[in-house]
Amino acid sequence: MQTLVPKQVEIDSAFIRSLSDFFPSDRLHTSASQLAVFASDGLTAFSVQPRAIVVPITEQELVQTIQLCCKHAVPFVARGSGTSLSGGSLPHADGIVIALNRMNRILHIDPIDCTAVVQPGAINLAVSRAAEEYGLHFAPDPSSQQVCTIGGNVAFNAGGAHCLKYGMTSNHILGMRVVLGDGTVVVTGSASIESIGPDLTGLIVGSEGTLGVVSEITVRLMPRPESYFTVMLGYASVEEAGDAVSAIIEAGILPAAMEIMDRVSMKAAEAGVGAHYPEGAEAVLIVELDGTRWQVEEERQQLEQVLERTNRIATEIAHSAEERMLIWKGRKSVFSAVGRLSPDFIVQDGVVPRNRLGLALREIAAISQAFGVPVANVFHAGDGNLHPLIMFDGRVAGALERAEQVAARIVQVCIDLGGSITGEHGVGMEKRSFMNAMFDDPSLDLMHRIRMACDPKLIANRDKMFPSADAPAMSMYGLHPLEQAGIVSRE
Amino acid sequence: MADPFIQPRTVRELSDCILDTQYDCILPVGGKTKSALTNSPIDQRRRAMVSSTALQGVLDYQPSDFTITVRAGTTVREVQDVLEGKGQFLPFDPPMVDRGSTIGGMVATGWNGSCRMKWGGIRDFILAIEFVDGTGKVVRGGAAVVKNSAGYDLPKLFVGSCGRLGYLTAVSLKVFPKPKSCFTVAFSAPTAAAVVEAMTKMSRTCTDVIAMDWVDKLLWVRWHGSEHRGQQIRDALVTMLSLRSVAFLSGEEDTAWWRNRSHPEMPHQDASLIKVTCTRNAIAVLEDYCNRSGIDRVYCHAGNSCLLTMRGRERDDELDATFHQLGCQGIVLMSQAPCREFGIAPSVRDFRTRIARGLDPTSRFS
Repeated sequence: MQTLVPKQVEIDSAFIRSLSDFFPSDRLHTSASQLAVFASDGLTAFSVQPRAIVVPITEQELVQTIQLCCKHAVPFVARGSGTSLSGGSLPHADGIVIALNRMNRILHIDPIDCTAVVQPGAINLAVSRAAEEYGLHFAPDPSSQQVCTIGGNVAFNAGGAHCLKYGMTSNHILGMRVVLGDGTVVVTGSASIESIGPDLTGLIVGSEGTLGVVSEITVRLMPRPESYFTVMLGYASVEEAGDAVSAIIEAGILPAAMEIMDRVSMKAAEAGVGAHYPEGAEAVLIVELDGTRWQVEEERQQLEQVLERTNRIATEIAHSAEERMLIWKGRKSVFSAVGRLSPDFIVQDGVVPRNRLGLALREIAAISQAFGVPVANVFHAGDGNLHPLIMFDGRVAGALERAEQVAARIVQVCIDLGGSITGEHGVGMEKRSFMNAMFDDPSLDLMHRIRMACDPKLIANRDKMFPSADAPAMSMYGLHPLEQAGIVSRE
Repeated sequence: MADPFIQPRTVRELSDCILDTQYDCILPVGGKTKSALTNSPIDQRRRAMVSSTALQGVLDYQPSDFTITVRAGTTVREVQDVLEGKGQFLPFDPPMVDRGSTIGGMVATGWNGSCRMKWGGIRDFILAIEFVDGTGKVVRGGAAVVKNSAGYDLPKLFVGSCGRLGYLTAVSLKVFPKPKSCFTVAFSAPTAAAVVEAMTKMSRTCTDVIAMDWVDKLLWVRWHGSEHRGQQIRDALVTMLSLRSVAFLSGEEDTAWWRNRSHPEMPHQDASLIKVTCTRNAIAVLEDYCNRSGIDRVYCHAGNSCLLTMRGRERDDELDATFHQLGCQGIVLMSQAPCREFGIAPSVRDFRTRIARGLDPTSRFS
């Protein structure tokens, strides 16, 4: 594969002075204490201090910043709330961070076409709240939706528990304005769900900020489900829970979500939020149906027939909105709760074909045993998206390295089983070295050519996604503060 | 003189063909069901028409994983038959199936059928592709699993690319369980205002509408479910929209109506069938223009797209200007003339060109 070596530059004072032509002092930060705030994202194992932070409030300021960066070949990283779990918004040591938090307005809700036009810093949940009065919502629901931004969702094609039925962010983005890496503004898509010509919107979503920065986004809004049916089932093994997932799928039922938690995850959730799980269960399967009342009722009857044939040892149905929320609270608390069992952990988010889930889990157990590193499993079973939590104590010499080896072996298992290295977290800084295992040289070369067409100086989120320079050294500081507070989780 | 017609039997032969310097460029063709896209542009370039129809067959089908991978020249009919055997289907309802459309052509045109509303279009179901790029190399993008976010989403980029970015050789698609039965309610919507109101109300309250087309002043709305359930929905609609009378289709009658919608007639003589991206907000102005200009049309996907049948080319500039004004875009899918587009902003053309140069630096596909 052709290795592209971008020109290395030193940010000089003239560059900073030029930035100050566009930004007042309260939106241009260069002091060490201000820069430290942006040194890490949701993957706290990496930490890099940028040279400056700018906070644009208009597209024009964004364009001027990128044009200036292009002129001086200075790398930049666009960042929303910094919840990336793959180090995707980690700063570049020779570059600047463009913080989009103040480009956070919901510009327009169109109740006729059921769309919203938002700025990239708009918070995911805020869009749904703004659309609520029309009976609409923004369907992608990453667990960090209280704080994560639509721009970040776009950059990493965020998923969520309900993307089995509703798809990922990419399936809900209709059009965008994008400032490419050379400062050119381009428009993709429209307010229609249909499009003409190559799907440039689809190309930008999930490109991890390596082509440019999105300045305005048109999203599709969906009707809120009228009704839910949520059930938690206990099984004597993870494999039996996995078999139940296959049986549901093979019966032609398409639930909104299907999640599995293993014994370790349950123990963590019990300790964390006092969730209750069935006695003797080694795994629980959460199944949620949604839609109109009649549709949910019809699917519930079908589901019950399927579940009767599985080896469930317990069935707990949510009879109220509160009981439903309790089931989901337990599920979503696992990541922060694992912090009670282990001071540090690494999460992977590889994907395997759904019918190979059982095999993948056996492989993970064998790897865990071989390395003597405990691994908890909680995953989006419906779409084969694993979330193994590899637990270790960063204070013990060599523990981090062993955990990294376990993580690497698990990612390789996903590739070997015909899956993907990432389902929803993106490649970012963390999984760059696996891109060579997933894509051959001609495919990576072609992606490089696309990148060069948009960002000829390779300044947009440099050193991310593509296998290239060495990553900065990892270190562990324990959980992210938002994670400790239970606001975000690594899923 | 007609362009030479080549039918490679292997991906290697295809790659050699793309690199063959006796041709200036390549025109990919599949089942030729979207005729405008396989008519050669009128220029001086030596062009080879390269058919995908010998590159066919199902490479992998995992019913329990909802995925299928096929060679690009496989007919959509064959894929549908394979899926039918396991009670599954392609939820985006590809048109022109009975006339021999291929999977490669389906992706390249990005033309979704009426029944794409509930689950999404081709872009939402394409998982992975293999193609030969302008340098003759075999390239792969995406992964044949239902969830993936590694690397650029090349599969989506190829949807609607009309064969201008590379030559598709294999496609992986997500599939879904096929509804056991469907029904349709149709009622009068005589004006743009009336239809927009009805479409909007239903779009905001009904999560499970499969199709919503406005044809000859009637709004046709399709759901899946039993006939009994259909009658309940019909009664609810009568109340919600204050309808005086409705038609109700189920069983074979329902299937036949929507099958016909998937196979528009080839436009006569100098006429063109144009797919238009539309919005409900644009319908009133578009209706006014079409009425004044004598253009036939049907609206699909609850007003998100429109199929126009327009005679001659005299109105091309006017149509282009109207689309720019409305924020609509259009492409000629069926015509005896080469493909043309409407309402495409210069900045969009420039961006497309930049991306195309990245994939096809020597313009083998343009």
